[in-house]
Amino acid sequence: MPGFVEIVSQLTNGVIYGLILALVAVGFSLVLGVMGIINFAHGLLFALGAYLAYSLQFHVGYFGALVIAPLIVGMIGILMEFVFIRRLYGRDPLFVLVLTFGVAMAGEEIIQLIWGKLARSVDAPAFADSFIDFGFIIYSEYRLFMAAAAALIIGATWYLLAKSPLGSIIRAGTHDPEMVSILGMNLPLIRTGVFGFTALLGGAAGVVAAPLWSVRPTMGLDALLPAFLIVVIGGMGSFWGSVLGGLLVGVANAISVMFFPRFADLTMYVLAAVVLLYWPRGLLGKKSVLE
Amino acid sequence: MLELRNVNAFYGRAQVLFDISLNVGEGECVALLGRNGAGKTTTLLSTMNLVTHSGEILFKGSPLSGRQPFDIAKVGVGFVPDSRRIFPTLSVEENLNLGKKAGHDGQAKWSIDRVYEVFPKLRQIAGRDGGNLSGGEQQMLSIARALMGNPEIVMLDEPTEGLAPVIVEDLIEIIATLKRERMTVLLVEQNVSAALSLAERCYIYDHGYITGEKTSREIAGDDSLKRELLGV
Repeated sequence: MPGFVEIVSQLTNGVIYGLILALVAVGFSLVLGVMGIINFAHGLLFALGAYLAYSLQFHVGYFGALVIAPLIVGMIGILMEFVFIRRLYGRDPLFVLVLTFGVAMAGEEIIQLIWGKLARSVDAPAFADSFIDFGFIIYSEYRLFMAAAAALIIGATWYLLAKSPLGSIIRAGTHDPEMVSILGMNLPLIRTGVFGFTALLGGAAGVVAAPLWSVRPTMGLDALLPAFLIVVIGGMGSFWGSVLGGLLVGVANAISVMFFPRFADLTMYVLAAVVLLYWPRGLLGKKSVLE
Repeated sequence: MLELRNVNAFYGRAQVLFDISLNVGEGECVALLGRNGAGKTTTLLSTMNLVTHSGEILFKGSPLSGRQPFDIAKVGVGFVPDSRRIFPTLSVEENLNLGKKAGHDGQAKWSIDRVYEVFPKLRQIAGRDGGNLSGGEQQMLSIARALMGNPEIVMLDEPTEGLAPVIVEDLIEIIATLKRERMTVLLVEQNVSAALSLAERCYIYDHGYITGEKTSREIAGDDSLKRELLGV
């Protein structure tokens, strides 16, 4: 039986893991909502963020990487949309699945060519590479920083979507992109921008996660599968659904690591199955673009 | 101002418009009349380039075909679709602001204050979500949102459809106000008496063809034609 300290520590780890997954899921869900596209390459963007953080840390330090890597990933996203994705709007969703899956696979190979097959490590920034003693528990400073950074990015994204004029265009586009176009807004440009923005979010998640996550070529897939399930659990198109789903998966994972470590990898699938039995559209989901 | 020359339109392999030619002059209100499925809505959709079509569509002499819908909106064509297409998760004011753009000459005659003057009801419900509006409120919002883009012509697809008679009167009054302000209007309407009270000229549609062009006065005096248009 795990002790009190272990339980608190594992649950906190779970929440932080969940916040990172939520950050990945929010971007994934936004592309699904605005463009009706299941972007299997979203995990690749997460991985690229982490790998760029690895390479950039030697030149500009961790904080430099935290700013520059997401911007580069954002630009890669814009390029990806411009070259591949935009050809497939309005086509059979299967085309996009195959295309983004192919891009994800090719991207993983490219990562191996550039950075090799072995895992790389990114150092936590100096100010947060130690531990804090809370009296009853000693906890990693970097994990707390990670939680704060993820929560901050999620909060800023929500503010942008809910309160800014740009956000109302994106929300309108989620509901009826054609009408957005009829009102005179450049729909292709909006789509490219949204895709680039979600790439930036994915890249940022990758940088924040890098010091604790094992930075290896398959890490994109390691984040994508949970993110996909989180969107299903939280409900397609619901921002807070993705956040809630992320936290649930993170905490459920932490609990199963403590009590049933052999089944830990199964937890999120069981969770998704149970949620779908009772809430077929996910916990906070409304009628989705895929219906 | 708007001219269609020999337009044919298709849904997949089915042709739904045959050789449609019509024109709308500046400051004019023109109605398209005919039964359901006659091709009136498709005419508006073709103008916005939302359906596959051939033939020429000219706005102030320059072709619209091949342009993207947002580009067509930018040159001054406002479109109010029949399903209103209000964004349900945006407030009334956010819906309006989304439509905001300067006219092609850079002037913005329609500001949010001006819109609230013409649609006082919308000011009262400015903070309400688009998804929580009555049919009449949605229709007002949809028209107001199109006006926020300062169009030179506004195409209204069945604005009175499914609304209570009192609301229909309000809407007719609003469209009459637009006419007084020399707005060019292309109106698709099943409600023949509403259409005749607003439009100077009408095109009669039947099974994808235009079968006649008449002044509203001519139609008003022709009982058999009116009966045919009313579908009784």
